[in-house]
Amino acid sequence: MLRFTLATVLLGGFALAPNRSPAGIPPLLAGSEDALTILPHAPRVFPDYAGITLPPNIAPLNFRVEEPGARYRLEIRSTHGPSIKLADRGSSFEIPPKAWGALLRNNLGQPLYYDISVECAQGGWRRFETITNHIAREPIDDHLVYRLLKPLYNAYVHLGIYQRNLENFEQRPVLENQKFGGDCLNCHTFLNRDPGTFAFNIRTSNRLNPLVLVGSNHVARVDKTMGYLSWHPSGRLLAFSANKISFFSHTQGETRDVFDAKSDLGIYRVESNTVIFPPAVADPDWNETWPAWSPDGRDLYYCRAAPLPIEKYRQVRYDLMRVRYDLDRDAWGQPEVMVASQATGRSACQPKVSPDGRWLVFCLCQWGGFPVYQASSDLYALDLATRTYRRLEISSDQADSWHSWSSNSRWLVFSSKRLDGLFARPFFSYVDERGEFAKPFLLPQADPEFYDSYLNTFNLPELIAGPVVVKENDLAQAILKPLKVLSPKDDSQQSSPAQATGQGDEGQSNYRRIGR
Amino acid sequence: MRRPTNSKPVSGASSSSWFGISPAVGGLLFLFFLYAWLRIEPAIEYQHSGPVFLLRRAFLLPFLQYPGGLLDYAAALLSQFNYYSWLGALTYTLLAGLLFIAARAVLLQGPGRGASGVALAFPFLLLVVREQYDGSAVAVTLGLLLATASAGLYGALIPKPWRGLVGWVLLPAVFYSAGIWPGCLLAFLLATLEASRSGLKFVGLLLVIPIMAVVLWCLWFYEASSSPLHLPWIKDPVVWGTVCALYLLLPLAWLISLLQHPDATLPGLAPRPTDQKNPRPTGRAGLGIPRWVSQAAVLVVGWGVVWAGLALPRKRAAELDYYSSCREYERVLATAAVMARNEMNVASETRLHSALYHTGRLAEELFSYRSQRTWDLLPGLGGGLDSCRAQSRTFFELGLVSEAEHLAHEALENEGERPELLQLLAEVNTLKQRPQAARVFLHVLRQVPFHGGVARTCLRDLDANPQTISGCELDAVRPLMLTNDLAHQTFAAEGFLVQLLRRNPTNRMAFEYLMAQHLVNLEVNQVVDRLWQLDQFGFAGIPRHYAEALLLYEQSRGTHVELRGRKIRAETLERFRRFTEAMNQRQFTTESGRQALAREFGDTYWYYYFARRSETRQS
Repeated sequence: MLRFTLATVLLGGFALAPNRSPAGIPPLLAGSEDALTILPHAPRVFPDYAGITLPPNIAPLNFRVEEPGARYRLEIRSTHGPSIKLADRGSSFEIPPKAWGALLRNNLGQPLYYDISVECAQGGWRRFETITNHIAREPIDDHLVYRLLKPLYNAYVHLGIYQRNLENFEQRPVLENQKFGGDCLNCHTFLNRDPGTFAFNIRTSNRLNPLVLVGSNHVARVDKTMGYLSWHPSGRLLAFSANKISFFSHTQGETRDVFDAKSDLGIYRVESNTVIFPPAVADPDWNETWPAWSPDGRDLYYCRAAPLPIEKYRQVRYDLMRVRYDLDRDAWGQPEVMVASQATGRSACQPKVSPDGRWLVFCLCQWGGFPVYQASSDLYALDLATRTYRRLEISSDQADSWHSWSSNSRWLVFSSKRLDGLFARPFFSYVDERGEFAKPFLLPQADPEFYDSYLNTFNLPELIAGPVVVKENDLAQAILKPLKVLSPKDDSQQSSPAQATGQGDEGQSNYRRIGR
Repeated sequence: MRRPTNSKPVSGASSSSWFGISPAVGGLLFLFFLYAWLRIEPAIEYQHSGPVFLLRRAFLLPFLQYPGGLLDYAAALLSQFNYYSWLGALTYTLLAGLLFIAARAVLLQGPGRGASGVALAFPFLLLVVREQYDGSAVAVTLGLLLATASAGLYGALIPKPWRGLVGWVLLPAVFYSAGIWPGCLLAFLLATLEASRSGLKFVGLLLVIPIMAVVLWCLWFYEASSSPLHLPWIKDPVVWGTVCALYLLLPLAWLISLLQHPDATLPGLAPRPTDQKNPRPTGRAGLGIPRWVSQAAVLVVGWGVVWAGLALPRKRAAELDYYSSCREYERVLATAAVMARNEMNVASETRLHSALYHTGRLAEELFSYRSQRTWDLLPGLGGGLDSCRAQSRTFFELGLVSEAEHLAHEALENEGERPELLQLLAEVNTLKQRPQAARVFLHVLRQVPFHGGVARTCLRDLDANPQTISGCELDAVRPLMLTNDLAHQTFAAEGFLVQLLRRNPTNRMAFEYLMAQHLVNLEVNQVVDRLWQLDQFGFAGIPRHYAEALLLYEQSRGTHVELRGRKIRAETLERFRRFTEAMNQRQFTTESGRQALAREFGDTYWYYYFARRSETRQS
């Protein structure tokens, strides 16, 4: 042990590591007296947790060392507090949660070091270059909600929306489809990351395709088919897309694809239980989709493309758009192009504005409006102050999509197929004040081997500030035997054209009927 | 050798029996084993409809979420032994033997001891359930065993002061682990046992309360789900009826016995020697019939029911699945040859076509198998979810790797992590240059009992070379794969087969499937147009069905097709002459004529052609 410590110090890997008392060190670690060879490179670890910035409230980043060896040692240390020392004959390390949590809490803004040594089969220990991470000062929202499903099929049997406590490894279902007849559920959307107010869609084979609306003290079924959703920050409006989507297949590359033949944006007014299709975002000459409100509720971002037949699916490219909205006057401005597909040569999807209103992250992919099935999909950031955009360095050569911001705008979670090209997994990236995105890291799991054999894909990860507390059975009951059913009314009769547009639309009808 | 008698207590089995299993019962169980092994063939069920099981903790967790989950988990685990038929049969025989012992013990402890011979019915009924090939037999047996054994142990081991408390604990535990039916059976057995032993009829009824409370709790908690009912065997009426009989067997035996001896109270395990109302057996059954006669009658009737109860159509479909997965194509064809029309489904037809191709008989005997219903070689997803697994392998061999991937994923969602699918998806992803995704499937395969070795070998292969897995057909399929992207909403077989031939003109499977597709679609001109390609694939002559189509074409067009040295077999020409004569006599216009034609020409393309045209016109 002395030799090990001495070599460590002499080689300048670290300063005096705190609490190197042999007490509590497993015998495997304490007993070795073998010579130590220093390797000039970091070990390969999976998941790749090297060089990342991590939240101070994240669960232990358990990992596996992908270097051959007979025995393995790990020491995790930072500036303050005791280090964590582990040793095992196996290459996987499961870090004690309490010690991990204390280490992170005591070292906000500090580096976090991983010293990994491996004993060769022939004897003798090799120590790798230290892996250095950084502990952010800003925590991440403590829960992540996502949909789990298999990556490639038409007929559903098992799928569900789940919530994961990011501070530990607990995953609980929000709602599984087996609770309500095995139908499809999707597009969970939270109001300002509040776990108490959210909505999601149900797709059934023999019923309506309703929306389930969860409020502070009620769960209601809204019998109206809606697509992609976005809450107005006031909670009074829910922007939605009405899409005519169909699946198709490729014989090369990604097998599955999605085509949207016709789409418009609509607004569901929660308080009055009415639906409108404002002409500004429901133009018959355009397909509008992917609504996303700005945090101040004064802008609605969305994507827009010219309608084309499915044979021309490769030419479908969406612009990133914005339209002003005045909640008090219920008035819409003129749509403006933020990122033109003509300029990018690519298709924009899934805009999401950071809660501080500074950045808008969106996807650009080769064609179409469903980036998760496009290996070309990358994440881009639009600086809303300068209106310049750039490809994010956290993008990969596989599909990166379904991103979501944390409440403090310092963390971005997104689904990426970068590990294998087939299964989407949630990755987190730290975003600093200047808009620099740190190297993303994979959602940690208790078992470091978890992702090796996990056949589900993580769809639509959304960060929320606490656990969803509404019971699964209450949600299922709202679908099957609802206590409260809302059938939204067409509000077109109640609004005059001038009131509706706010911009003067030359007497055209401002609202179109539902279900065109 | 002294035969065990009904009045013998369980704990006092004679030296000639072991836990109540006499040589005669042992012989019955041996026959049970042989029947299960050699006639039912558990390996066939394993391949076709066996439950999925993975050796990992996460696989267990969902089973803990509902009443009966643990039973399903245990049944899935035990069903893995079906990988080897003899092992699966042995496992099932052991379960049946244990159930027999437990049932007999329960009957001997209560007023049903006069009807303890009823336990003999269990093995027969269990075989009937098993030979329906719906995958639920092990779970059903385990549920019965758990309830019956719990009741038997309760009666034998729990002293009187503790019985109420143990009953209250035991019932919810069995309910949670095995579901509602084993729970109800146990509640009934305990209640009846208590009532008959202590004479406190209401004590027994009190035992029902916990199970009712749990049922109500469960129905409330799972109100949006049907899982608490746990009726995996309700899918099939035969299984449903047989399982009902199994569950009613003990209660009925007890009730009958109780009616015969309404005052029966049992002081314990040992029978009262002086009890005049429960006399020792006399060696004669009721109505003065000697006991051996009645038992022999039970055996004869039992085996008769079992023999006749085999679900042959399901077994044949399962055999097609099994032999196809083993690449025993001759046996596939032999099985398909005896199948009736209503026994064929899309999956069976897909396997038949594959076997015909692999034995070189697709162009010779496709129309010999008249039991086909859909006559579609590549229906894609339109063939239904149950056909996706079978089709995915065919698509893969053809070179339609993305379609194979799609269908394999559909099957994966529909049927679970079956080894065949995991292996195929690993191969697909290796071909699609996604070795890491292939590894995910192989890691899952590694967790399937009896498949870990194969998976580890494949993983090592991928480590050495991310492009290939040894022992697979990757090198054969790679040059067949489409290199251009054909976006499509629905699968049109002909178009894809043509594309495959454009991509690789030596793709013999694509050629034969394309020709077969033309034939079944009555496109004889397309068949004739492609006859020149026979040279490319080294056909010595003209395969029979192509020649039959050619003769039809020549006759309908009044033209002669130049065959460049190839000749139609004289036998075919002669049959065509006879067929033409028969058609000229308008034989196809009458039912009897059609039947006569079917007898003589039912294996020809001509018969199919006119029958299909007739059907089309009628529809």
